[in-house]
Order: sequence, then C-alpha cells, then structure tokens
Amino acid sequence: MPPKVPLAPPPTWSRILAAGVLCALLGLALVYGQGALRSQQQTTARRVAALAVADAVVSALAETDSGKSAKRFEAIEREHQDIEYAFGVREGGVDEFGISRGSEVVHAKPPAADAARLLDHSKRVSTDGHKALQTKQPLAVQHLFGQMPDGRLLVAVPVKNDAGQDVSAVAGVVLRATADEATPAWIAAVLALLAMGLALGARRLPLPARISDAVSLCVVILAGWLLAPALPSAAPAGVTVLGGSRLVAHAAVEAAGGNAGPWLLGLLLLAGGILGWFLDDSARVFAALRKDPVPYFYVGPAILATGLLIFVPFAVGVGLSFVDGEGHFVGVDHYIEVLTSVVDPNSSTHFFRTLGLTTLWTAINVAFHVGFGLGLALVLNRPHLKFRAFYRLLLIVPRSCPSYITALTWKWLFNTQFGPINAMLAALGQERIDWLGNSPLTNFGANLATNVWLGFPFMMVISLGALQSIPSELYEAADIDGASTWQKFRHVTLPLLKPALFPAIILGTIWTFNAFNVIYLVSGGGPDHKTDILITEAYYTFTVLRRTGLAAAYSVLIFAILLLYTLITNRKTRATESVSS
Amino acid sequence: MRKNLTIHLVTAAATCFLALGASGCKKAEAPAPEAKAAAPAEQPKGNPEADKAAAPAAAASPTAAADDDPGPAKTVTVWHAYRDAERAALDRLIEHWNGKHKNTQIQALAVPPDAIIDKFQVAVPNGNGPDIMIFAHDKIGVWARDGLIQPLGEFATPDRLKRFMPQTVKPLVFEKNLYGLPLAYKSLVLFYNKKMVPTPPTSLTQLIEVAKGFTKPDAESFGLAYEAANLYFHGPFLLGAGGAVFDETGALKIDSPEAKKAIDTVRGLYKDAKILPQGTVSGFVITSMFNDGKVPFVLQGPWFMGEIEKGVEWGVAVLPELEPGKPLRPFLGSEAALISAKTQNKDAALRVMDYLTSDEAALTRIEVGKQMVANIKTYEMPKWGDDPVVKVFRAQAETAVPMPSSAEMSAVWTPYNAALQKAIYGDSKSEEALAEAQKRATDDISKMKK
Repeated sequence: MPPKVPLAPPPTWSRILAAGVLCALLGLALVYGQGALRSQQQTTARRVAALAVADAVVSALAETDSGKSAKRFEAIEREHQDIEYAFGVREGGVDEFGISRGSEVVHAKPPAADAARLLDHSKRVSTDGHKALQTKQPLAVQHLFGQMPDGRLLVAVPVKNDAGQDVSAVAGVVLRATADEATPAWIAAVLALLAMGLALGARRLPLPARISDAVSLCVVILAGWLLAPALPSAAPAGVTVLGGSRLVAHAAVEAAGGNAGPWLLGLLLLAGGILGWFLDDSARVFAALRKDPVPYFYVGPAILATGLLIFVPFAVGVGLSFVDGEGHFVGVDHYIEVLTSVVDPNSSTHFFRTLGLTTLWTAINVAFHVGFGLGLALVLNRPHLKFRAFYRLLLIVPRSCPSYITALTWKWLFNTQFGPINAMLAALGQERIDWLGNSPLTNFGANLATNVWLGFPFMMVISLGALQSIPSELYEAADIDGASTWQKFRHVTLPLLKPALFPAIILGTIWTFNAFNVIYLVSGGGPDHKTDILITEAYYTFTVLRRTGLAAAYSVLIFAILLLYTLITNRKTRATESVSS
Repeated sequence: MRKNLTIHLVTAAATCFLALGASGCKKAEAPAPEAKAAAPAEQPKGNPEADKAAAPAAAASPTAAADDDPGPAKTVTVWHAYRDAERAALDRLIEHWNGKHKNTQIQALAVPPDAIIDKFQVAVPNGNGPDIMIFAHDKIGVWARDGLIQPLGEFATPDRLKRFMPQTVKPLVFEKNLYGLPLAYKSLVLFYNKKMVPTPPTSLTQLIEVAKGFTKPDAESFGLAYEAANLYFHGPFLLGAGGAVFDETGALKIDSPEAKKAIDTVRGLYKDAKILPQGTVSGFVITSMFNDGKVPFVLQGPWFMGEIEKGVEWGVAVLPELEPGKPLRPFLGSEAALISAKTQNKDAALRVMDYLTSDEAALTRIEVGKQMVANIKTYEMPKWGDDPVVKVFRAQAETAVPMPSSAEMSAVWTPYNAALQKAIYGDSKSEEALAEAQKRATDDISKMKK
C-alpha cells in the first residue's frame, strides 16, 4: 500500500460526481426493487383472478358427460375476458415400461398436443407441490407452470387420482398477455440529482463529514422508497439478468412482493449508510483520478477482473444464502439453521463441532508449517552449507506439485494393505494400521501429514527470503556484545522475521482453514464426517443435500470468521503494514 | 503529457481487449455458441406440429435420413464423459452423421467424468449446456425434478422402444415419463484370471474355496478383491440376499434383515475366510493387483476390460450364487441419451438421439466402443450373440437390478458406505451400523432440497 498522500480538500465537482454515481446506483436499485414489487403485485392479482376460475375448470373436467363438460369449458372462456382458453386433459394409463400412454383431451381450443404437453408437465408436480396448492401458498402451482415466453400466463391445476398419489389430470386456463410499462430511467436520474443536492447541503450541518454523508444517502433512499410507488411503474422485464443468478433474482422479486419489503429497504439503507461513509473517500479518488489518471488506467483492468471474478460471485453467494432451492426468499433462516445446529448423532452436519475441529486443524497445521519451514530455512541459511541450491529446490518440490496429485499420493501411502507406511510398520514387526478406516484419529493424522507436507515449503521460502535480508552487521554487533546463539535468534532474527512471517501466517491460516483438497481427497471427511472441516461440510450440504442456500450460508460464515481473524491479527501485529511505516 | 496519456490509454485498452479476447476464446471452446446463434431462427420450442412432422420421418429410417432437414443450419451439442474406445465410437458416429446432414451438425464435448455432473447442473439452469446429455440413469430423478431434462413425450413410441432390452428402458422412466433412450448398460460381473483359475466358480462357497488357495498375505496375494466398503460394489450381496435400499413403496429401508445378512456374508469373507485384503482398497489398487496376478477374482464392470494389461489371460463369468437358486445380483446402470430441458433444437436433438441409439449405430458402439449396447438386434447376430464376453454381460443383465434413480439415493451413499466400513472392517455389529445409517440417511433426506 503506497503511503497516503495528504490531499487538499477535494474540489466540489468531484464530490458531486461521487455522490451522483453512488446515488444513481442506489436509485436504480430502488427503482428496480419497486418495479419488481409493482410487477409482482400485478402478476399476483392476475393469478389470484385466474385461481378464482380454477375451481370452475376442475369441476368442468370432473363432469362425466363429455358434451356437458365441453359446454362448461366454453362458458368459462366466454365469461372471462382475460382468458385466452381453458383446457382439461386426462391421463390414459401406463404401458409395460411404466410410461404413461395417451391422454384424453377433454377440452382444448388450441392444438390438442399443446394441452397434452401440459399434462406431461403437470405430472412432474411433486406431492408437495400439490399439497402446497391447497394449504400454504395458493400460488405454488403457478410457480411451477409460470409465465409463458410470450407473456401469457398459464394457470394449471393438477388433479390427483383417487389414491392421491399421481397426477391423473390437469385443468387450467391460459391468460392473455398484458403489456408491461417501460422502466423510466429518469427516476434514477432525479434521485441522483436529489442526492447530490442533499449530500452537499448536509455538509453544512455541524456534523462529522462521514456521518452527514451517510445520513443524506439514507434520506435519499427513504424518500425514494416512499416516492417510487407513486411514480409510473417500472416493470423489470430483465429480472433474471440483474442478479446473475436466477435464484437471487427470483427471490428479489418475491422479497419485494411478499412481506419481505422491509428487508429490501433495510438492505438498501445499510448499503446507503456504508456508501455514504465512504463518500468522502470516493470523492478523493475522483480528485486523485483527475490529478494523475495514469495509475488508475494501469490498475483498471485488474480491478475489473477482480470485480468480475471475485466480487460478483461473492455477492451472488451472499445473495444465495438468503434464498432456498426453489428461489424463495427465506431471510436469515439458513443462518439460523446453521448456527442453532446441535450435536445430534443422526445428523451429518454440526457447525460448531466442525468449527472446533477446523480451528484445531488449522492451529496444528500452521504450527507445523512454521516450525518446519522456519527450521529448514535456518538450516538452509547457513552460509557454508554445500549444495544449498539443490536442497532448496528439493524442499520446494512438495509445493510445486499440484496438490491433487500430492494428496492422492499420500492417500495411497496410507493404504492399509499395500501402502508403504504400513509396509514399514510391518517390517518393524508392528501391526498394520487401517489409517483411513474407522478411527477419526488416524484419519485426522493422515490429513495432517499430507497438509504439513504441502504447507511447509511456503513458510520456508518466506522465512529464507526474510533471513537473507537481515544484515550480517547485526549479528556481528550481537557477537561483540557476547550474545549466545539463542539470544541472537530471539532478539535479532525473530523480530526481523516478523514483518515477513506474520502476513505469511495469516495467509497460511486462511489456506489451511479452507484446505478442501486435502480433506476431500485423503480422508473424504470420514469416518462418518468426523474429520470434515467447515468447507467440506459446506460442500456436503451443497452436493448431497442439494441445499445451495445452506451451503452459501456456510461460506459466508467461513468468510466472516476468517475476516474477523484477519482483522484482529492485523490490528495486534500490524502484519500487513510495511516495515518502513 | 498528453501524448503519454494517449499511449497509456492505448495500453489500457489493449489490456482490456486481451482480457476480453481471452475470455472470448474460453467461451468458444464450449460448444454452445453456434447452437445459440441458430436458436432465434429456429421454430419456437415445443411446436407440436414440428414435433409430429419430425418424429415419423426419423422413425422410418434413422440413419439413412435421405432428406436433410430443411430450414436454417443448426448444431446439436452432445456432452458425454466417454474416453478412449467409447469416445472413438461416438466420434465415428458423429462424423458419419455430419457428413450426411449438412444442416444439422452434431458437436460433441467430452467432459471428465468427475466434472460432468457439476458442469451440467450449473450450465442448464442458466440456459446453456448441451442439447443431448449422455449419462447413466441414476441422475434422472434429480435432474427431472430440478427441471434440467425433459420427457420425450410422444416421441417415445412403442415401436421405437421395442428395439431396446426392456430392463434398460425401465430405469429411464421417472414419475411415469420417459426421459431418454438407452445406449448401453453396465453391471458388475466376475472377472477371473484364466491362468490361475481355469473354470470360474458358480457358487460363493466354491469361490471362497478356490480363493483361499490364492490368499497369501505375506506375498500380498489375495483370493478376491473389490471395493467392499462401497455400496455399488456391495450391491451384489445386498440385492442377492433379497435386500434393497428402498422398499416397494419407495420408503428408505436400509436396516433390513436382508441387508444385515449381506453385510454378515461379506464380513465372513473378510474375517473368517480372510480372502479379502486388509482395509479398503481403491479401484486403482484392484486393477494393479489383477494385472500382477496377485488376485484371481475381482468384481468389476465393462470399463475394467480396458484396464487389463495385455498378456493377462482373463475371462468373465456371471456372478456366482449366494446359495442355491439365489444368485448375487449387481446394480444395473442404463446409460442413456437425455434431452436438456433448455434445448433450443428439440426436434433436431430427438433425431440425433434416435440415430445414436439406432440398431446401426449400436453396431459401431459395440464394435469400436466395446459397449454393452441396449439394442436387442445386436445380440441376434451370431458375432455378438455368441461372443463369450458379451454373452456373460447379457446374462448378468437378466438378474441385475436397476440402480435407484431418486434424489433421495444421493443421501444414502455416504452413510451406507460408512456402515459397510464399520461393520466389515471395524468391530461394529452389522445391525447397529445399518440402524445408524438408516437414521443418518433419514436425517439427511429430511434436510434435502425437495
């Protein structure tokens, strides 16, 4: 980090620009959110209206006389302007493979095959989906059938057979498409202008700059939130584009439409507060950009790439943690589920037990990494050592091999019958150990050995570099003072290693905390998840339990833990501040 | 200064351009772009008329397809996890098709087996992914429920299904819908070293006797090797004993008396007969043991044929009988061509699927790819019907039981394997280990995405 160059109070125009950009972003988010709300409400209204007809359609289907049945369908179509057509299809039994064969179209104005397809589709409605129709959410079925590509809305009611097991028929209606209103971009512009005025005006208040900025941004958001419903509707036609993830987008819409509106407002206010806090900083950036744009052009591509490859996926991950697998917004349910998990012998996931194990795993590993790394570096740093370069090269090999290969090799080394480690034990007359078998301890040991092997070269290289930069005069001076070897190490070497070693330890801790490869490939978390660390547990919830939201919550918690750790260590050790400062 | 700035601007722009170019190149590797480009001009998805028109034409003569598809050029992308011979066979079939159908080109993408599931599951919901996915049937339940694949609907005419062995079609049905056409089936059989054992055993008792003669732990030689702590390989014992993972109603039933009996049988092989190596062994170790003549019997599937070294005289046999009249029954995997739910070329994809699963294509797949194809006609030819290896796999398919394809199955593997590990290699009682697995899997299923 370059030393901070004290900047003159930023010129007004850069403050305006900074405030403008930030507020335009917030304004867009607001308009978008409100538009989503509006659109969702409209769709809901249409669906509710269509649902009102659903009972009539189902009873028309239930009519045994086909002539009467058709008449009732036609009556429904005539009665409701919105309805393009109603349909009813019944299943025709299964063949020798268990595939349903033929379908009897009771009524369908459009091509019969179209209606048959609906039956096909309906059969995929799970038992739960059907139950949901009657009890919890009256809209569960539309969720499954949804919007047709041309804007028409399909509302279908799957009818179960007498046993209540399978979908045996489906009845429903197709609603005509309605025109959506376009998004007025000027709302965002107005909000931005408003914000700029406010931000500048608030500066005149007798408050610290950061607080006045944060407050003014929050005021803009609140005003926008209250005003936007009164403005022409903004229909988010591209809802799925924005989130990067369909699930997130879906949930955003749902959050806006359902009772989660306050959530969205809260999030926006939080974002506004944070942005406002940094408004002054961003103004400085604008000012600096004008003064000397060159460095910004150089780092531009890197910032862009980092943003796209790290921050966007991260944001989507955070978003996902609030969404369940169906795309429903669930608030902090996933976090509650993770954080309230108790040690239950029947459960595969225990957050706190695993957190404890992960911490232990990390502490032991890093201790070994630093111990071995530093020890070897001290040995290699002896000036009279022969073939120094060769040893150094040899000791870096574990790091330079792909970790997958190393991990798989170690797994083989621990093989009970054929592994060299057991062969050595057997040669010594010892009993063979089923390393990766039923004992958590030996599994943990195997993981540990693999990761220590993988991790020490990094610490060695860092220490070696730092050792070589310690001026020899210091040791000479210590010699003259009559210092012992230990005293020289304790009072000269260690303090001078600190600036290089502490950031390396922080980095090593983060890597080890998330050492997915090793755990996954060596013990596989076994036996019985007893050697899982948080990241492999998260993977399990994602791959086996198929809970993307829960896994995302795990990741966010892992991130929070590591962030906290880094912040605390950083403050305590000033690890990432350069030596010169 | 100004000039300098211009230069910097150009540099920055060039960097951006390069970065974009690189990402663009990556995209081009994926087979999707052409298919997408063709999409807007395509008929709207699910046009019933087009469906109907395409189906009979394809049914009449799948390979000849004299008339090329009129209309805009399109590309049907196929994802598969084939390697070596199987891949060569598929590539040859595709080349043949592409030579004949200028307007409908097939583009294949080989994805490593351990990556293909994730790749497919990520790509399809975002509207990417292949038109046709080639994969074993056991993912159908999950994928159908998640809306990643679509039923074949009217395309699955009885005529078309007649050409396959029925037990390869049944696993492809999920909730009364057929989701794919079968290409090949896979199941475990008994591989044996002919030099060590001239005639294969027909009962487990016989096998144990012969195996005991080859078990010399000091020489690292054993009588039988298979992944005993893996449910797939444990399948023959479980299913042979009349057990299953789910009962008739589809409810999870891990801790059944049959399952206990199956584990006790294997425990006997390990602890009493002592014919298994100590501790778990991976597939890699098993292969090298067999190649080195350190084990006469292994339980493996058709893929193992490609891993046996030249010079090893091997044979295959139907799995022996557990007790008279009760054979060991392996899990059956039916490998199928599935249609992505997000395909923009459904009609073309169905035609390609029909071609790949046709009787003619099956000949290439068995000849070049050494696949155990699902087409009945192939086995009516003496060349394949009388082939000693093919015959064994064919016979084994008669007793094999399709692997469950429900989403719940994915929660069964880890607890079940842990139970096997504990009860076979450890000191746990089999019924306790199974009861624990039952509870664990039930808990996992209750937490699963529905």
